[in-house]
Amino acid sequence: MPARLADLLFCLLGLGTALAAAISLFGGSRGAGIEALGDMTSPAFFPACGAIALTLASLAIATRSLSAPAAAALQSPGLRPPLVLLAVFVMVLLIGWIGFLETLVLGLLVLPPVFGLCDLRLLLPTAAAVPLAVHLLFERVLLVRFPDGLVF
Amino acid sequence: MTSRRKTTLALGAALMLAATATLASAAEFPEKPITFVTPYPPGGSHSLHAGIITTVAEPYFGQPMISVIRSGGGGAVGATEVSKSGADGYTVLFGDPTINSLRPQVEDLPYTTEDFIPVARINYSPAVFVARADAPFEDLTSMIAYAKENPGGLVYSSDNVNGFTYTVFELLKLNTETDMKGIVYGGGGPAVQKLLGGETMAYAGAPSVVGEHIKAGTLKGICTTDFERWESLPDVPTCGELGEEIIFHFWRGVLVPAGTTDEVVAKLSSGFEQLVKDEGFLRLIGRINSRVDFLGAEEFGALMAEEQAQLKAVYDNLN
Amino acid sequence: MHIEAVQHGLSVLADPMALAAALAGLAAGIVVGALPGLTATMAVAVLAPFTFFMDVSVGIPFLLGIYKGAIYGGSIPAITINTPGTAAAAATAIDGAALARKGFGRKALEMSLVASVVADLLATLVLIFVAAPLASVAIGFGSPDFAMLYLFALVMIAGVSGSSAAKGAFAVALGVLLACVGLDPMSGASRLTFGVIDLWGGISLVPLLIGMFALSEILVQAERLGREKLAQVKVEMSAEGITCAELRAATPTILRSSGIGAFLGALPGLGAEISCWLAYGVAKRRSKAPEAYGRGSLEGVAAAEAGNNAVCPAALIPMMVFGIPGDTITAVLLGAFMAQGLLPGPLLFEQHGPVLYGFFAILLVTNVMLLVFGLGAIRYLRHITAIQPGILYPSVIALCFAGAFAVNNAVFDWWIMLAGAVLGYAMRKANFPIPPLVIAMLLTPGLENALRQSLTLSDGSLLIFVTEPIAATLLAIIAGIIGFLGWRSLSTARPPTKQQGA
Repeated sequence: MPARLADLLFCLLGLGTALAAAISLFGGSRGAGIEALGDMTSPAFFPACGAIALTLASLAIATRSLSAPAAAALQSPGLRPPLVLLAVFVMVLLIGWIGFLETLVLGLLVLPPVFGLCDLRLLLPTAAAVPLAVHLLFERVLLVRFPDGLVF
Repeated sequence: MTSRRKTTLALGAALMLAATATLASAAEFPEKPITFVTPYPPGGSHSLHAGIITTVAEPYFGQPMISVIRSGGGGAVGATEVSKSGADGYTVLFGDPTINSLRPQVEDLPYTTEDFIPVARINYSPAVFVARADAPFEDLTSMIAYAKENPGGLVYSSDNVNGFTYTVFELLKLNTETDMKGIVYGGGGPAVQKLLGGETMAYAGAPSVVGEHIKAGTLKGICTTDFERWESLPDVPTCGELGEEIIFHFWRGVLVPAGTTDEVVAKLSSGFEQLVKDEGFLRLIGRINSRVDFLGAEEFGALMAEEQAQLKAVYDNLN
Repeated sequence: MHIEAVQHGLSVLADPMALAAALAGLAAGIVVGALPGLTATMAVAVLAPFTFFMDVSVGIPFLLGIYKGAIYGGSIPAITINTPGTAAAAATAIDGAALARKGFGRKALEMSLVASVVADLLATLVLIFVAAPLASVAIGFGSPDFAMLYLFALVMIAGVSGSSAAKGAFAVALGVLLACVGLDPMSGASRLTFGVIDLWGGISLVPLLIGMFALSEILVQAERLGREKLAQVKVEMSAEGITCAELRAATPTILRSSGIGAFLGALPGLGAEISCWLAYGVAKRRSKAPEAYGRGSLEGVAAAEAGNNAVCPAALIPMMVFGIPGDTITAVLLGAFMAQGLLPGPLLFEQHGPVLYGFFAILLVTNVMLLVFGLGAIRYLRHITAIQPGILYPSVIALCFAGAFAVNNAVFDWWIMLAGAVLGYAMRKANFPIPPLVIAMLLTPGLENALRQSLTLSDGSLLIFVTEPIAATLLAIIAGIIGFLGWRSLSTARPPTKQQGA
């Protein structure tokens, strides 16, 4: 991905966030009036300043990026980072359904190959020991109650 | 979850069956650990009480009680979560007047006062109005006189909008028809710091917070919002003694989501009734300058209904 | 300070149980701090109720040990795997991990340990000898003074922002917006919550930072593994420790950072997270070689670690002298003190002086022990990077999951963690600096509240920042710094790519 495209994507993210913030602050019948911008004690003042600064910074990044000579392309992330993110996403989804310990075991079965570990003699003991250790440490020692699952 | 499902099933089938099903589940209750939700961050008086209660609870319920801190939104997040959890008695809220009586009536929260059933009041603290040692008034009478002479000139430390300190000062201002300026510091810690540092003149807080300062003379005790003087502060009069009938009890109590069966509520209530007589509990509660003012489910419910009506009236008066 | 009290304090050292408890706490704290996801606050909050039933000379030293150990322990993974174990070690990771990448992991770890121990020692001495006078200075800090102090911190830390001023400003603005999410304590209005009740409490910092620092680092490593062969990823770790010359060079930095940490610690509300950044920012500004910061400067490691560790003893000052906790962890400690019958407040030292000096003596001794054991253990710590990535990174992910939830028992926080991971990784890929975002999130609530409280006090008049002596002094310093920076950037012809976006 060219560095310029990345900058422009961030510019869009910034403008979008600022717009969402503005709508949330000033939109609707319960929103603050625009005069809040002049009143530093108003709850809308600080976030509004943040939104304005974000808009300006986004525009500055975009103009700089477009006017600068074409920068080198960013290194391609390859397949592994998206795979890890996907695994984490699925794990967050699964925890509510099958429980904390079970999700971690699944995660530790799926993730090591992404980091180049396919040796089952190493993978299987890790997938059993690490989640159990984390579970014991948090649930038994620190008395954290993770969401219930099928087994625990 | 299970008992709600059972009830729905029973409504479709036969009432008799339903009665036996609930009775059976109540007889076994509790069959797994009870989650005790504190809706404030660790370190406050609430979580301190919660820590003490949950560590001594197991013998009185036959199951461990697990303390869960779920803070956010000045207590609203934790209360919302409990209100939406299963009405099976396994998730209880450690509530107080602001999140259970005041705010659901006057703010747009995702739960109402009807969403909870009172189980047991553990204890309460009155608010103690205090002033800096060098404040230009000595007692409640001169404080009111000062506020009347200088509208908006009496600056006090407040905690959060609709919080404990905030509410008692609103009561005071309404009762005495005075105008004082509250600075909202977002919590008791910074509020006391700014009072001691001289930025503000007055504050109102729990006896455990201001007591040591009154004894050391760094703060002047003005009056307490109770019917009687507080035991450990015998020199501080009640506001009523000085002619201002301001009563506000910041209670700490246990509530369960609406829909929980009477049997479960009764079981929990009697469990807490015995818990507050535990020797270790009493020793620790004494050390943290607190005490026990137990009320069972019914009396607690009556008290809350009265309090909710009173606070609603006050709030309507303000607007 | 009474002689008998001090004598009693020293006699406590003969109590083997108290020493053992403090050491056990310290060891547990280091583990807690070193495991990403497990925070000192959580460990202390969870374990505090158990100390209620212990003897006073066992329970309190145990908790204090955890507190101190955890703040130090956070630097270990920050250096070895570029994943701060606690938010307070985020600044340590910048230079520590850069050093480790060059193979100087042992030097960085030893510098972190020495800086931590020295800072803690100095701050403990401050606590013992000048707690009362320092407390009365700190208590006098009013809202306008705090507002200017936060502004001062912001200006000093701005130098950490990285290569592009616009990108740094973007990160700051985003941090400000993220920090504003939630219920506004002053008006009771919910801001930027979009109707999501889980956001009422604000964006939980710990899960976000776990995502932005720990998970995004794992993604970076995953990317590297895909590009390079496994053998190339491993860095040969040098066995070289820090030299006397390096220590001597870092001494002024350590002393200055300890002072900053001790002062910020004594002011309720700032905490180790802000202190490590401020100490790092100040050290970079004062350094003769600021360009080395961020590329593996031992001074940078020393500055950040001395800055965060000096906070711990100092934060006990307002807690004990006035009963005012500065942050969650001191609030929990306050509860533990109370449950032992030690009521914090103006009478505490008068009534319980001997017990307190006993704690302090224990803190000093455990400090020395930490140094001795630490130097021995570091030999093995630097081998953490030798763990097979296929085991190391999935295990860290498992810890992240546990830690993100455990802070506030919220399922929603896992989504915050995931969002933090995506944002953090994207920012790294596109060369956006992460520290300004984190710093903005840390400073915004304090700055906003202090500004609004000041203006409520003054009925909207900005003059309050000039009429209050402390605020006015700070304002003059801020103006001086900005003026100096402006003058320097005008007088020195700079290449178009600026080194720092101050």
